[in-house]
Amino acid sequence: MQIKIMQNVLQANEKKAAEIRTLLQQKKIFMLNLISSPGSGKTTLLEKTLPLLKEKYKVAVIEGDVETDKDARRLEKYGVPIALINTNGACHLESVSIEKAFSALDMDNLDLIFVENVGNLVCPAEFDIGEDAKVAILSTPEGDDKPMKYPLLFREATLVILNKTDLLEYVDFSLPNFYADIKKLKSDLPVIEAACKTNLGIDKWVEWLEAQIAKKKAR
Amino acid sequence: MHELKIIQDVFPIIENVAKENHLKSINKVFLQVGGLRQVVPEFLQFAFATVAKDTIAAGAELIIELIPITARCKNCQKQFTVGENIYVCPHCDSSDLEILTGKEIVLAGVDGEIDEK
Repeated sequence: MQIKIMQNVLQANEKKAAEIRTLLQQKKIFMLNLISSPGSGKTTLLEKTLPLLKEKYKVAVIEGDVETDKDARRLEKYGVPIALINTNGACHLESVSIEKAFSALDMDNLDLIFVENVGNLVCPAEFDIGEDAKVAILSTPEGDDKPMKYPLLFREATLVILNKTDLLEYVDFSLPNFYADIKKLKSDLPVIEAACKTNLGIDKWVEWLEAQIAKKKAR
Repeated sequence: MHELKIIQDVFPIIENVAKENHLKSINKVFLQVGGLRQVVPEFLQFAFATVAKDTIAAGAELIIELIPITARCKNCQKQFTVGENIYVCPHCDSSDLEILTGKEIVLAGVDGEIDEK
């Protein structure tokens, strides 16, 4: 006897993500999910961004790592609340992890939450955590072929930050090839060329962030 | 990825369905997996065979239906299958698209034997 079920296997995570999304809408908090390979520059980007935003906005960071509090410690000096999630093996964050992190934050007093996801181009893209936007960070030493090799992330992303452009002369990264692939995969995907070490592109990134926060507050 | 977790999440659902429908065994499980999902069918098969042991679905066949990525062009309204990660309408070259299918991980159904008792 055949029995039809048609149940979404990811339902539990998606239901919780929807609850998070509703909560963030109620509290008018803009939440970003930063996704990249390990070492692309997520934490450095936050180190550059937090000092520029924290005077004007109430910012918090949810820091996801398999092990250690190294990233959380790097960000401590910027004086924003940080909720650390050690996954102890899980390669990505899920919405239940975010809900848990919220209990460590003052959700009535925030404008912006950065989720620094576990360094991984594959799995974090699969899981909705209730964010307003996914930002993909790719660095030039990783190669210009990564969007096509990791299409789900780049299809899901609202913005790409291309970091370490200061290393372009030393690595085999073709900007034309990269942009051609982005055009095929998601032609309206904005790219900010950056070099966190020299602050290149940080102004454009902050401008984009401020526009997103304003849009959310207006909704 | 996470083929094992996907299979583990399927089992409580099929066990419940079996109970509600008075099945004494499940011999087929139908799973739909969208082309955008980063999931390997062989890994799903392996995970299924492992998890199914000593359950109502022991020895059952996992039938995986791969759902292609399809889109509707918002410009010319035509639907098409996305191939080679090219998200551009083959009819009018627009990239203003609505993705229709491709993100599914759906337990479509089971086939089992009713307990006649």
